[in-house]
Amino acid sequence: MNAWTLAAAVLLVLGLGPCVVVATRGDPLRRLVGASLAGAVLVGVLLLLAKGFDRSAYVDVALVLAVLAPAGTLVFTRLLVEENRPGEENRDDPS
Amino acid sequence: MNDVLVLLALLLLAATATTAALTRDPARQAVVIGIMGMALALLFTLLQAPDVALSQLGVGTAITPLLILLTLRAVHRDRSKRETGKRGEKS
Repeated sequence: MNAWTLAAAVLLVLGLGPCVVVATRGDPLRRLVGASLAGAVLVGVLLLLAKGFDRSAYVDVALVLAVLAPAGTLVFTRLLVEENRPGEENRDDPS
Repeated sequence: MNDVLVLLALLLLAATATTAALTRDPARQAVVIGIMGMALALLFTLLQAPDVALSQLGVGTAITPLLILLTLRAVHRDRSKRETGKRGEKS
């Protein structure tokens, strides 16, 4: 146990906990906000763990997550926004 | 300390996995599954397996929710096409 892993544990509880709470309630777009912030916080947690375990190779995991999380958020946003307006052209019934 | 961290990660994983199983709407499920993939990657890192965590991040965070959402969109398009086809027959 050292200060780095302790900081990682604190950030895991106080930083990632609220994100998970937000990401498990409400409509999909609201959940997406929680998921996006959880990715950002998890990058910090993984960097702290790499420092705490004294293994510089573990930084790569945080690096890959930092690349993938925003890209995943963009993909989610595009698809969910398209899905949130299904068939607006079908709304105006010509009846 | 490492045991405490592993316990926290396991609790996080259990919470997200249970929520993903209990959610009914597939679009919301995809977001929860993305978070679950991140929790699993954290657990693998804590268990000293960073390569497995890398694979998990690539597959679980990006590809799986993307495939779910693309499938949902395809199903929605199919349904709307069928509805418009039925309307065309009626008119």
